[in-house]
Amino acid sequence: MPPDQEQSVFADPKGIRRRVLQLTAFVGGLFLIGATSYFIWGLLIGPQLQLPAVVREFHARFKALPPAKIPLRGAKDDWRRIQLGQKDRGQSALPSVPKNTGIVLGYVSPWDPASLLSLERHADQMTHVAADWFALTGVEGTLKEDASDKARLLCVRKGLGFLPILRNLDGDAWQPEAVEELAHQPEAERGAFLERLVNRLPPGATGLILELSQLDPTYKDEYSRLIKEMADQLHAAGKELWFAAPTGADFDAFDLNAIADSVDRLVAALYDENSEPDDPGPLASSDWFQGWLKTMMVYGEPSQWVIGLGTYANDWRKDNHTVEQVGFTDAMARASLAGIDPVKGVDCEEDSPDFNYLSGPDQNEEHELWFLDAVTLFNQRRLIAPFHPGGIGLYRLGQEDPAVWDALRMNPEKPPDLQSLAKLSQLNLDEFIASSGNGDFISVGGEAHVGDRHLEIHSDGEVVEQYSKLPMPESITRQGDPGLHKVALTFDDGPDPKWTPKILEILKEKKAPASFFVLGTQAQHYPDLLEQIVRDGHEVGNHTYTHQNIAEESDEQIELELNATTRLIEAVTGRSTAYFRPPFGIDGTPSQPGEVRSLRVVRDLGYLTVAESIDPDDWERPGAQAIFDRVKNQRATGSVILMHDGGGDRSQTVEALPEIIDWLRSRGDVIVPLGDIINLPRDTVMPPLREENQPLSARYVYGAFSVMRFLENAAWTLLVIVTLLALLRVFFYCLCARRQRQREQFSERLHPQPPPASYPPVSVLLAAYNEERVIASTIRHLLDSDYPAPIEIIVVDDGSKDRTAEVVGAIAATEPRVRLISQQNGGKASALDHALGLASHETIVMIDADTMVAPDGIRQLVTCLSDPQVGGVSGYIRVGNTKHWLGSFQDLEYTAAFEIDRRAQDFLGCITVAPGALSAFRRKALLEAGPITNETLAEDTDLTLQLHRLGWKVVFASKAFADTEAPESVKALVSQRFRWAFGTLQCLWKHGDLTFNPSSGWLGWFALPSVWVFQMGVVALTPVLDLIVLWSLWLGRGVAIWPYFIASLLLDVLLAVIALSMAGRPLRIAWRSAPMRLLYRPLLGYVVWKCILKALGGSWVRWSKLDRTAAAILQKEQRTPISPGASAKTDQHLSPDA
Amino acid sequence: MKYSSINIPLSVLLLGAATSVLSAAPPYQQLQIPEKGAYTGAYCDFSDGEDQVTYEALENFQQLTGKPMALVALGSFWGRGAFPTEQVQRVRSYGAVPLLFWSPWDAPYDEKRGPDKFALTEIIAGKWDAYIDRWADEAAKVPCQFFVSFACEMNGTWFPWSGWFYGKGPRDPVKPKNPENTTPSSALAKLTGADDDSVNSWFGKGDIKNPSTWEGPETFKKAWRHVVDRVRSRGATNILWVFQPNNYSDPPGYMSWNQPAAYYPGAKYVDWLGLSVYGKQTNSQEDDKWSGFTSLLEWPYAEMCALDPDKPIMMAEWGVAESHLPNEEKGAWIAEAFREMGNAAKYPRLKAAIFWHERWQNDDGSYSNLRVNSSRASLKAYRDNVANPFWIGRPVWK
Repeated sequence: MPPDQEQSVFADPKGIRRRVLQLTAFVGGLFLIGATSYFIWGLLIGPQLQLPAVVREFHARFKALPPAKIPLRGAKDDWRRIQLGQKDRGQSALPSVPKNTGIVLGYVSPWDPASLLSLERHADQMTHVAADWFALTGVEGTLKEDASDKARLLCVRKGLGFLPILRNLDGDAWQPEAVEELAHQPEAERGAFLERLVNRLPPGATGLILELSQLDPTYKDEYSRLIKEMADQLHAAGKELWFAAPTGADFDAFDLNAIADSVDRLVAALYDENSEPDDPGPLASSDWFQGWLKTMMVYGEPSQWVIGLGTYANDWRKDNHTVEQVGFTDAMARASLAGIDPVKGVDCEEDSPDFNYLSGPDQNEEHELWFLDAVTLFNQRRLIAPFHPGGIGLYRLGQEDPAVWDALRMNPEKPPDLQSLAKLSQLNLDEFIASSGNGDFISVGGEAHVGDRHLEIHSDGEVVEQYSKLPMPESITRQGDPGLHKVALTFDDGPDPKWTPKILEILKEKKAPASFFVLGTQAQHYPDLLEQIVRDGHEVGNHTYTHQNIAEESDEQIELELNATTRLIEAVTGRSTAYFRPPFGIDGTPSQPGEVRSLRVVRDLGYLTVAESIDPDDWERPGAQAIFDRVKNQRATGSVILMHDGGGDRSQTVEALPEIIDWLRSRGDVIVPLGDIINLPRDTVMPPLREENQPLSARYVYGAFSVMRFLENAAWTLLVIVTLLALLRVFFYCLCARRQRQREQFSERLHPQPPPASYPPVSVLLAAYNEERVIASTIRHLLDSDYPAPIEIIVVDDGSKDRTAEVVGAIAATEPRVRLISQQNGGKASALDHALGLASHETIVMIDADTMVAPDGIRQLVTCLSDPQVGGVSGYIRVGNTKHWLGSFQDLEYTAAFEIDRRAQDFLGCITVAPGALSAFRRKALLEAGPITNETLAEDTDLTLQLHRLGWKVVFASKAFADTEAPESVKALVSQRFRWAFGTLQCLWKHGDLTFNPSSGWLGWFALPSVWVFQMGVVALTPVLDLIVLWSLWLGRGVAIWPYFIASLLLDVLLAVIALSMAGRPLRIAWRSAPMRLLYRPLLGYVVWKCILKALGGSWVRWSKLDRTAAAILQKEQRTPISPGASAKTDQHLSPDA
Repeated sequence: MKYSSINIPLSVLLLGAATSVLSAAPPYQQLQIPEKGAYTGAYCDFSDGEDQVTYEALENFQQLTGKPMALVALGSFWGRGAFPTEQVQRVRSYGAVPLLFWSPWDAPYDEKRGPDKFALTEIIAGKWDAYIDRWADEAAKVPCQFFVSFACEMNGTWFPWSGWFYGKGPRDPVKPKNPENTTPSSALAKLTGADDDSVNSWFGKGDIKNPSTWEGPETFKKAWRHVVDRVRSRGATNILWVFQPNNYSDPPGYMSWNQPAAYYPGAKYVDWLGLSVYGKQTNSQEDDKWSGFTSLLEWPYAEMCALDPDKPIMMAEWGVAESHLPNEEKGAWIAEAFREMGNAAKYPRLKAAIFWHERWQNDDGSYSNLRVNSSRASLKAYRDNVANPFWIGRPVWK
């Protein structure tokens, strides 16, 4: 019968379906592109945040005050009293021989990025660095270390002397008892302490600076003794001891004569004339500076002295008597923001310039700011030059007027030249980013610009300055100083299905309001939680969509992240939000320009950026107690607490939260929503959306979010269902296979070997197309068979273009059992059908041209036909080329397919295919079922299903082995699997009526649906699922996928173990199924999708040709010395995705 | 006076009957006077104005000493112009009962400056009634009983409300009944070796048998009654009024116009009797001698007991400065203090003690360190002794 390709299943000879498909794809694609574009437009260009004007106007308000000429009280003059007492010492202060005068000591605060930045930039102008390091605290004299190693490493790298500072200061409380008690301890105890101290000096330290304060002068001698012992210990270790001599009342506590004898250097801190407990005043007025300079330099050698010069600012707030020490850059920013008149407003007359301004939301916070700059520093250097001290100190790095580095290059003993003056007069503040105001609400200051000051040289060489244009540095402003007892709880990174409800529960129980900074990705998955947050009365803020560091993102990216998240919040809660908190937080003052730029973008979008002044780092999971303690420790200086309700295991946060709330309340705090801190009502910071305000694009975006959410949820649901079904099927198949194996063993014992006489003669049918390399071997294996009855081998050469006919003909010439039939190329089905017509026996065995049957293979097959109800028998196909990696994968795959699936199907009587590679049939059954057609690519499955339909039994001969050559290249494998999959799909379609047919038993109700679901549906969905899951991985929710992924791999390995153990083969190769799975997953997904598209497009004719070409290429490829004559035409249908 | 086990239930019963007849129970928690043991507490260095109360300071003290405080003392100076509502709330949320030093003086709060605008005479004249009313209204809102020590240490010379500043002469001169008897002045003159004239200038002339007739103390009492009446009339009945003289009068008053009894405004106006008991307050060699705690308490305690037959007594302030001089051991002093105060057989009415935890700088630059952690020995003595269950760390409410 000539093959009628146009009758094949899914054929579409006129190509109508294909054109419809193409059109549909085109229109669908257009629609999708349009929808996506509109979505992005809605996010980016669509209506911006519609926030009340009061929010948009929320920015720091500064106002200049007219320079108040407050009658200044005289400089503090403790030094006069001390000088009086020094009279007997004579004036030996001016030395004759200056030596070692080159020291430049920089004070660095290791916790301040600006300080480290300054150190790094100007290391070449320093010789030594002093860093906050040790704290001697408590009456027990506990030595605490609070140090960042960055400064130390920098010094070591740059070859600077590194001097950690030891202070008796804990936080902001001086600890006099620590020193007083230590000084009175027995000598041994003191020695032990000092030894500990020396041992704890960080590597690379060249010594130690000792800075003590608030000590009782009654015990002067004891301190001298202690300091001497400390110096001795340090000297023994090759380190130096520098002693910081205090000004003011603290000076009395020390006997500098004695101390100068034991320490290496004395450091005078000639700044802070007025600080914390004092009223506003100069930081180092000329009288005071010179008074103390003269007073101090009487002691020791002049070269021992390092004179500390200040370059910073003190900002007094007069309404609450607090002082904030800030940098020169901050001072300039404050002056500029307040609009200070540089000439009239900045008073430079007191040797320490100052100005007054107002700040705060109601402009009622009166400030007086005093500062020291490069000019005061130069003048101070002039004053100390005649004393020839050992050097100077700079207090402190990160707060300096950048021009001090120019001032340091000038010679203080000569009047400055014009060029140097010109440098000093420029005010270019691009080194640091300024910060103004207090509170956790952050905004960005105005545009940066440079400024300058007018300088003149007095007759005595003193440089007199007058600011002429105030510079504006890059700056941020802080607002929302909540006062003493308002505190806000904030939670980032949620909502999270596990932790957010627990936190909400606690908040409800404690009646505490909170603010949640949600991530778009999380909010999209858990809109119910987001809604509940708002319903419970809490505030919601924006925390970006995907938790990105916005300082590293482009302006457009930031806009997209923020808009998408706010749209989502609006869609879910019906309210917008004015709050934004950047992921990774804002620690102190930003030090990177990117941070300011990103904050400016955020401000321009209209958001209020919320920082955190209490950060217990709960995400580190330090333990609930530690979280609680950290909140306690930071509460005194902060009011917005940052914790996390998402992004990981938050059990410790949940555990600590009730304790934190109780503690806050017991200290008299009121827990408020953030809006309370800035006095904005809920409807202002979270304005409800009104229907008429909702543009179409906004509603569209909300809808798109829902669709995305639905898709993702559906993907996850499918994943769970499929995993469960697969588990069930595997379990069921294993059970059946085991029962079937017992049954086989039982019947073997019952009938060990049928008598030879009972075997019928057999016709073996073989279709061959271009098989010259293997056909001889195949026939030889058949001829070597131990079959006890006559065998006839009919080879149909299907119009081969190679020497197949010649090879077979040669065998047939000498072997009567072999017959060669030649026909025009008509396909495998027609060849087999042709052969069947010529077969002379009732028992038919079909075999592929590349299948090497085992000697007892035919006998084992035919034995099964002794049951008259059996119409077909499936053989057991093994992979012959197991040495190749791809072959070894398939070996495992085949083993599992036959040992478990085929056996289980046998048990249930629903074998879906007797493979063309090796199968046996009753001729009668074949004729009933025939003819064997080309309608499908899987004529064997087609035939098997037809037999089932006719009521014949199809069984599995589990000992009828045959070896086949598996594809050894991925391309060949893909091609093979494509044909299998397409053939299977055709058969399923053709025999569609069998599925769920009441009379078709396990086949219709189980085996065929299984093929639909697991070989087609699941395999087709897997890549889609994988894509969606990858997407959620990118959104940071990937953790959930791992259990499924690992479970499916484990399941495969387990299956392989079971199959191997049934086959009696070594179990150790079972691991291969894990990498196999990784290869097969995308491969089969591709194959099945190709099938589906082909089936829909229906272009059978065209790809039929392609297939032949492909087959030809395959053969060419496989004709390699390693795998001679392999063919990919093993048309057997396994369950590769079992 | 004994606290018999019968009397208390009976009085409670009577009180209960009375209140149930008159009105409902008072709308505030009532403090239980401990039957066994005594409340412990402290003033925790609340710095300027004695009212910079922070929760951290309270927790820190508790951490240092290992015992919570049932009482926390703080200042409520008239110069502040208002009731310290927040501070009281903070102490309450910490879990202690506040004791307010309600001191009629104005900033700067420097001792030995004499009367200012809050002079006792002004108070009596009603000039500050509006302030008192405001203060009382806030006080009435506190939902528990708490202590107020009005114008403490009035028998000294350092505070502006001391009798010293208001006339040492008799208000109603009475002739001595027994002119041949030793006058207080001559008795003291013998003790101190001072001459008669200077002693007389301290004491004025008066009758030891009728102490109520001295001008200064009379003024004080009048002011006290004025203030308490006024506060009570505003409904602030939740205040427990503490009459708190210094343990020894200065000028010495054990037989003169300046003895505590002369200032005592009467049982109706006082709920608890209090004492300030300080050891040596400097670490200077030249300064006054070190005295052990026992001698500082014994006699003043008896003096307090004599004022009223059954009111409870508290050490409203006690403490001593750190000293590294030989034989001046703060640790030993504190241990002795606890041992002595905890002797219920000797001091059956002592029901509370408030430790003064503060460090200040003196004019000569030296520091007086009364902090509990001024030295390891001091801290250890306090910790070890306050751990005794006799010392009750939380208030007990009725």
